[in-house]
Amino acid sequence: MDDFQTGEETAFVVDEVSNIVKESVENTIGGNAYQHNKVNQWTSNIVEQALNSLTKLSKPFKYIVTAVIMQKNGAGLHTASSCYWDNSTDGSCTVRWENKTMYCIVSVFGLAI
Amino acid sequence: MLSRKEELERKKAKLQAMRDEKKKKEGDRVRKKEEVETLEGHKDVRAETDQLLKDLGLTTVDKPKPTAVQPPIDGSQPVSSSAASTGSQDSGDAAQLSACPSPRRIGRLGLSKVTQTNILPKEQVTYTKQTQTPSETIDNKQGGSLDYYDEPYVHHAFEWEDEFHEGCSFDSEFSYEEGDMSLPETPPILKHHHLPHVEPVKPAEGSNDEPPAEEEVVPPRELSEEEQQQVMKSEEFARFFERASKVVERALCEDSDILKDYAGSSDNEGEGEKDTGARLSLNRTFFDERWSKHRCVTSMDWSTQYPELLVTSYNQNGDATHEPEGVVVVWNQKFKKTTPEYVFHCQSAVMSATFAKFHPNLVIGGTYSGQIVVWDNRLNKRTPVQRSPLSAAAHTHPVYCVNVVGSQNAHNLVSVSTDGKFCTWSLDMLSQPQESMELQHKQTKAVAVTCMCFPYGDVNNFIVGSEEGLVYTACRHGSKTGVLDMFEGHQSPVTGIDCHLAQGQVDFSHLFVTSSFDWTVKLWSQKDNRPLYSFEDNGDYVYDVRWSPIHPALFATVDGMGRLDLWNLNTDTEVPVASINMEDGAALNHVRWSQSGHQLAVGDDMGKVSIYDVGEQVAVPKNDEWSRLVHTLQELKNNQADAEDVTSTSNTGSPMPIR
Repeated sequence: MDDFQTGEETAFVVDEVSNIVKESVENTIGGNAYQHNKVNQWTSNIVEQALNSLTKLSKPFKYIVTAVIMQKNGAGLHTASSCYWDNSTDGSCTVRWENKTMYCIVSVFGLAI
Repeated sequence: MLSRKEELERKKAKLQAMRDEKKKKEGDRVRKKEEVETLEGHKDVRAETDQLLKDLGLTTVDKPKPTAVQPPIDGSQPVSSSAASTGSQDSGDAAQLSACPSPRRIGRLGLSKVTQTNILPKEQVTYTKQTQTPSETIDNKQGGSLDYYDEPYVHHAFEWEDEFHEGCSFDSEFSYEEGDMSLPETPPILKHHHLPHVEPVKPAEGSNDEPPAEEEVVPPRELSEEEQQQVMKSEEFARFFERASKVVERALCEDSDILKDYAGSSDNEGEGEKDTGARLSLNRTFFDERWSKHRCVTSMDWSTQYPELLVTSYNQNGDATHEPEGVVVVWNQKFKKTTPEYVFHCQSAVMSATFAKFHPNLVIGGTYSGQIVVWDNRLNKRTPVQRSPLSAAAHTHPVYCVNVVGSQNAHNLVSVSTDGKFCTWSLDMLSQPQESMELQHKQTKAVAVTCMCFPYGDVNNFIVGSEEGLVYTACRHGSKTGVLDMFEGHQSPVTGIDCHLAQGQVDFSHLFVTSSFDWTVKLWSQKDNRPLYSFEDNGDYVYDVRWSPIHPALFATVDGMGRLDLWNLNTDTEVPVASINMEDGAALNHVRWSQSGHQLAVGDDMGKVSIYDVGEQVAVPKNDEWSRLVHTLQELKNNQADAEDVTSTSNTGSPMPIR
């Protein structure tokens, strides 16, 4: 139970995760303009969709998904993150998406169990 | 003395003895304790483990398990690591079991790379301007009878003295009163009411059928030759005549009411070439024997206030050297008359001309000598009313691009010459530029600009095409002024550049097209340094390219073989959707869409300007054009990535990631 079998791919595949995230972002806010009364819904939606799709992969991973939607108002935003983990099996992926009225930044951290 | 010494010594001895005793006692105590401890520990441990084991149902072991010697704090909490290793932790037990090393495998932990996300703030570019005037002050016309107005809008800077005095001084100038000497504004119905005195008349608001009753009519008096000459030479007469002749010309050419709008495309003077399917059909041509013959069209612009007016500039007439070198003609498309609405000229060939967007009466030209000239159509002068000086502060090279950017109250004239000099002017004062800047790419090499465009709604960033075939984006204000990015793709001078215009559901303002002498037209996005697509259907230099103002995927190109093409990105990217050839084989220089997006003005190198109608089915976008364009662009991008893939795999053998 504690020793897992390394039968399948157990490293964090950035591209795959990135595509999943892009899809979930597109489906939620693709083509919409920033509306402050809907943004809450959107962020939750993005995170949920992404997480659901990631869990469907059935990989032995713990996932942490964060989503940030920022209205394009001329402000600057600067974030950074770092992790202390097993570099060979764990990984993270950050997807930046924008349209005319807002930015959306989604980060996924995957930690091998 | 001695007693003291003795006393001291005795005391020392005593102290020493006491210390020794203490030490002894401590040592004894410790030893005793240890003994006790061990004994106790043993006992306790044994008892407890026995208890534990009994609980668990395991057999007891007689051998006392060695325990770690606890610091003499609490003897009742012995730690038994071995006991715990048998498995479960008993919560009811007072014994605390140490944490055992995790049975799980610990991988090697290391720090990952720092992931950063940066969104730069948008720079707020502010300016101060001290000469703003509210627009209400201009509204002081209550129909003052002596005031001279051509248009309802009078710019404050053009309130020259003579303008206002012309209206009132004419009665003093005139020796002969020619009766109802109406101002040129009033409808020139040639009424000759020879009144004994001049009645100042209000500028008429189109009420030309007011019976000029009241005054008694004096029978007309024959003018003597001298008097006639005097009248004809006077300025008022000239103005009046000019105005009147225009209207009469229109009336003569029209067979219907001159106030009726020009409608129907079947009637035109001259060529009536019809394209199959009526996608592109020639509407009319503008050509003037005197002014456009033997001259090349150098630029065209439609007026924003009066969509039927088109200004065209011509370069010098090779044949006629005594004629002015630079000619700018304003054509009126509304009426069927074939003569120009206004003709202006100047001493140097005009390379670019534009209507001043916020001043309906001004026409601005950039010349071959580097001067910027301004004409005003309210005056009767054909020569410029304002000229920029020929100095090193302004331009010293031909000015190919002039543009008015900004808003009603805060606009500037922007001009670029082929030496890379970028100047900003105020229309009030052309004696020196407000700002000037050298456009240089990193290598401190000046950019030889041949064409420029501002993306829709942007007054700060613009894109220029140069003679080397490179396209640059640049910025007017802000922290990074000057050239920002370089776009490579064309191999020869870029002749035309246009940023996407049509506004709709999706924003495409990052798209622009360029045309060049290398026979191609390329589609670019500002986000990418390489062209998105290259249109290779032409067989000669492509001279100009323009996006349609209403259709997001439609643009027109003209080339040196006399071919006018319409491309629709959503329909086909390989061939144009409509194409037409000029009959006389003249090379087409410039193309401009009318504001409505249904007509194209095309200028050629023989001085002819042709207006083409674009068929409804081509010109008008359907609702889904914007989303289709998104797909088309995505396809183009994928195709490009695939193409890159193919070439890279064939070269290196290792696949590149598809973005």
